[in-house]
Amino acid sequence: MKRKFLPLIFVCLSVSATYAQTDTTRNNDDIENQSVPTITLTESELEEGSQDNDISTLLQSSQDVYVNSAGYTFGQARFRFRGYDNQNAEVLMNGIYVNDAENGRPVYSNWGGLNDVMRFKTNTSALHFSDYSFGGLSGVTNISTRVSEFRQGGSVSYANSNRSYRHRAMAAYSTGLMANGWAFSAAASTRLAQKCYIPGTFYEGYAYFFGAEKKFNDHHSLGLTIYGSPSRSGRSAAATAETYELIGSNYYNPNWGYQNGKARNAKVGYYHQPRIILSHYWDIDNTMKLQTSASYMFGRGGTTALNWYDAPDPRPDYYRNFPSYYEDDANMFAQLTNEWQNDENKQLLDWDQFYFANMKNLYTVTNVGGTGDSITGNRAKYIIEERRNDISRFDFSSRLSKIFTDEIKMVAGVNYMMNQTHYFKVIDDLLGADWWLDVDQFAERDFNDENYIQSDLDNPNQVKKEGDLFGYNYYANIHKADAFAEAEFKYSKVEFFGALKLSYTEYWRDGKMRNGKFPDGSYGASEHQRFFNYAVKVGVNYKITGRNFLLLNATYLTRAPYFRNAYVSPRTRDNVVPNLKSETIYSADLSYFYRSPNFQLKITGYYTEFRNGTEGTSFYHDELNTFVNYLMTGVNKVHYGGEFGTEVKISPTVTATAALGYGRYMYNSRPSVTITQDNSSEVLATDRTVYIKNYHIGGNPELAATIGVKYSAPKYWYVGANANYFDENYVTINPEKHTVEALDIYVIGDPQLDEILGQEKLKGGFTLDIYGGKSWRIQRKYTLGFTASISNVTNNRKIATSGFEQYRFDKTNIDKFPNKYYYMYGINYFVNLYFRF
Amino acid sequence: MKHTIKILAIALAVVPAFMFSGCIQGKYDKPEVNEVPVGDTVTITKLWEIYDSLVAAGGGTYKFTKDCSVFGYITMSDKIGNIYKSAYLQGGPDDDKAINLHLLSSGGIYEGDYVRVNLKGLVLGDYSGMIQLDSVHVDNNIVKLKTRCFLEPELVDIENIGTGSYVGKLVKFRKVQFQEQYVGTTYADKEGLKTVNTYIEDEYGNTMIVRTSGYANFAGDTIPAGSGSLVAIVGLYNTEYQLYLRNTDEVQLTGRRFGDVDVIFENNFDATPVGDFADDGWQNEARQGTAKWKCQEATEGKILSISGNNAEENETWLITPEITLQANSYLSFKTRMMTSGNTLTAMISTDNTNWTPLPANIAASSDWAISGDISLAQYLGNIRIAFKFESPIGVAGKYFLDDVKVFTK
Repeated sequence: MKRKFLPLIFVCLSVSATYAQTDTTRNNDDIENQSVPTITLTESELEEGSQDNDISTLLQSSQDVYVNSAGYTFGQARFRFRGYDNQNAEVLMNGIYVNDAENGRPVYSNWGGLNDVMRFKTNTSALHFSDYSFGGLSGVTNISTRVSEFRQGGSVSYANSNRSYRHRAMAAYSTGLMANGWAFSAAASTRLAQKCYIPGTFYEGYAYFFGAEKKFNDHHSLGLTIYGSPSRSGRSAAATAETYELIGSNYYNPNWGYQNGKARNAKVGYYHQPRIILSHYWDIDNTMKLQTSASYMFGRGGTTALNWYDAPDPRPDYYRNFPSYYEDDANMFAQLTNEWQNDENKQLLDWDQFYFANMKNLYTVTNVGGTGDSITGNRAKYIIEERRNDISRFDFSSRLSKIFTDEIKMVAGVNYMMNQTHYFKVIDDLLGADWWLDVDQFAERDFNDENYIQSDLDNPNQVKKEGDLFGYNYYANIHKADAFAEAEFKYSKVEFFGALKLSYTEYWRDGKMRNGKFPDGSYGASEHQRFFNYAVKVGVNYKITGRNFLLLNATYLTRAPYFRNAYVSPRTRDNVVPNLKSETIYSADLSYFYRSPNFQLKITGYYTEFRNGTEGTSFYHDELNTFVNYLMTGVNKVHYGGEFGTEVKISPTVTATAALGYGRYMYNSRPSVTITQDNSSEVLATDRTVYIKNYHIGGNPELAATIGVKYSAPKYWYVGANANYFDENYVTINPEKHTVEALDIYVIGDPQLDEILGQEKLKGGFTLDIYGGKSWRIQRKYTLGFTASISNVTNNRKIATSGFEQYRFDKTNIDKFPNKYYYMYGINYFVNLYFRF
Repeated sequence: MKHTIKILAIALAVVPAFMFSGCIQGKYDKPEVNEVPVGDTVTITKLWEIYDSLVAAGGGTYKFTKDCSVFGYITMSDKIGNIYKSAYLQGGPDDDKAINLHLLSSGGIYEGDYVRVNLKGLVLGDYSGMIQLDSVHVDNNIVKLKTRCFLEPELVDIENIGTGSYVGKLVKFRKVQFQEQYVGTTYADKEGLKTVNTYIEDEYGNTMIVRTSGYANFAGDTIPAGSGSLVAIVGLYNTEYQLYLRNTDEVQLTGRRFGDVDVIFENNFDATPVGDFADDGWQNEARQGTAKWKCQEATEGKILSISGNNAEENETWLITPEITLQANSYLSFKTRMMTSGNTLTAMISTDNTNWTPLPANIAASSDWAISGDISLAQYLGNIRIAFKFESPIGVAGKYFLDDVKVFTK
């Protein structure tokens, strides 16, 4: 079927759909995927399972040159489409909305390693019309797991890489639609690495997929999909410039050390959240289809972390462990510099010392669990705790599409989601101690009150062993319902569409522990937060000639604040951010598109405004001397810029591409901040103004460009290269530095003011990627092939992919908590060998 | 059939997904844990001997280079924040000395821990007058042998502290109070995290600093007004002794403040009209002659005054209204003799008829004399106090009287 896969690529690339605004061509084969470089980098980063990963693969396998580059080539630099947070990229699976319920971000790692069976995607970029839903600002991707449409046959593959994993093995087999009306598909894979690119990281991932479908008649089919992708991975963290300089590398990881000579990472993500989808496909008649799906997703999520009690901060990158902390003490400065440079242990966690300390920390707890009994034993000073977020989620989606005439099409649908995430901590490893006492040491320091320090006031002074729940325990309940309708009109000179969505969101916190600090606001169900939102979207495609198109799209919508941003400190209490309200978003883009058989070009300008956003974070406030919850409201942002993409077919075998994205992603208001003490309900500051208007949002490059050339030989092989440039990447700012209060000790003209208020621009740079592949037909039945890509061939290790100002800030010593950075990988490769039958 | 086999094969391949192989990140073995060596035993008394010889030699430090151990009780830790990176170690009854431990990091040892401190690598020296073991690593140097062994504080008076034999020790003052100006303020500045010195005093006027850190978890608590017992560690800063509180439960100042009285009856005459004295209930009776008590202005407010007439013999009785005594009542007043040769006698009567003189200190010069607190402990019920003025012929005697007060302490 797909035997002539190479020519097919050209067909896809050059045809590029009749109207360019939607890239709804079903992705044909993963051969094509694999022929484009760097997808695996983004994929593997995502597969770390982290909730905070932010690389978009939404736009992979699009036919738009620019969009394609943004999805693949730019991924290595953490480029984001139009600078949007990933929550603006909607991902559906058989019509079911699969983005995270609490922060709206797609969690690609949920189906990581199932490339063979998750490749049937329909992408719509940006504000274009989608057949599947209203869509997000960066677009919408629908993944179809309808196995009757899977090609009959199987494949096995082995990949080797030095990125986030070393080895990957995959196998998949699909029956296609059999004569008895059944179709089945199954896939399994594993991805492993003892050590990934970053020191101290490891990866262990598996995945499984099972799909079945029964076609009852020409009208009705019923499909079942079950998949999961359990994985464990060791995490890394950003570091300061001083750290990188001291160790002489831009790839430092403070999260690991040796235990008994064996590398051990303290931050391990362990996720397994399988999903079951039941889908009903109803072809009512030739023009009308109804697809209905119900889905249940459940399972564990968790990340481990070190916790410590009444002991020095064990993290090697604690700021007092650095020479810079001893600026005025030449001896210490020299000693620490020497240690950092020459003693690897200084750079690492000292696991053996944790055990040593834990196994001799004799302690007596009186009134254990409120019973009056005492217990004496080795109280843990250091533990590994796992912060769990276990999901139980039900989704329902039904979508009706009707083609009225050749010109008019309508789509309408309803969606419902009921999500419950269980947040709690468990003791993962006592590291040789007998137990952990469940009290809040920060409260203990601040308050002279026995009740205050209790995590669970109803069961005070509890002694916890491995596997025990402790610290906090609550449920995030989120219900969301929406309905949308879209109509598309296509005429010879003009095409246009309109879409409308109404949605209702309701959420609340349900606490299961009465926290000693907040006896009245921590236990039981909280007040429900309810939001009603709407969204409209319109677009027009004016066909100047058959080769020249002018496209305009615009949207206006309101969006309920995400659960994650709504609560001040959900671990301990149910207070919500003051004046919690929906965000308003406007966005428009205008494109000119030219297409001829050997040449295509697209230029786009866009403008987007986010208004009245709510953002919250928690950190140690140096001046207030306590851990605070920092809540900004009235955050306005503006994103605008231009996009350019072109593709030239120089000869039947040589294609050249170029793409450029250049934007400005800025704060556009002076938000108001409320600071509350994490330990108490004391409000430390209200309505403090944050002067961040016209600062960059930062964290991603605002400029990314690539020029590529690809040679595709008639004999089933191809080779290509891309030269890329990334720049205009700014660190994300600490808003607290931009307040009158933070600057009150400075006079106008103080040179330090510029340093405090300036926003650091990260170093940009060039990279070169090369890729190629070849395949062989065996006995006209089988295909054997390989693909290979080498990214950053020149081994440029100086491009920071992102950086951030630490929230901790000391206005009397502004260098005390310097910025931290992540760097792009140096030279890295991915080789895949596959066999198809 | 061929489909089934292939699907099954893949299904089998799925199995490992459900049991993490552990080949990547398995269980970790517990590392071997070394014991902290014991070596010779050294007493805190011995440490003091070394310290004293260092001081005698003009300073310097002593670094321990061999494994040796000192045993003792932790009497104060930095847990409550009043001291930082610091603890006090005190020996048992046969090693009756204490020392400050300066820790490399805060936390990890607690009041009541009976510990062994390995001295290897530690430095004995002087920190602003205080004996100190420096560079103590809580995990590497200290072994906790027992918990909740709380030493009884040693009973002392403020005046004993100056002997120097209590430095670093846990002591208890039986009867002290905070000086008046600190009552109602906080132990320290919790908001500004500033250390504050306050003073306690005893009945004899001896005083002592109580120094509290703004980081102490009781820094914002209010200083009590009363008198009573107080437990603290005796610190030394250069030549000044100062006390560090461990918690506010050990500040038991619930008794009456020294100098505080419950007034039963009082008249300072400030509200009395100038002229012949005739306040309600008072008797102002010239039994011989014509002299009477008069109220007049004076620099200290209004007072009573009486002047004898040298042409006649004077005997004038000033009698208070009836006063209902309580147990252990006292009388006080003050007098001033403006002219010599006359007498003033304070007396008491339970029936307004039979009078008994009281042992009061009556002025014998023109300086104000305080009567002293005259115990009326042998009287109960209703009484009256009389001031009998006697001036013979030829003497123009003159007395002032003020602040007549009956009270309990």
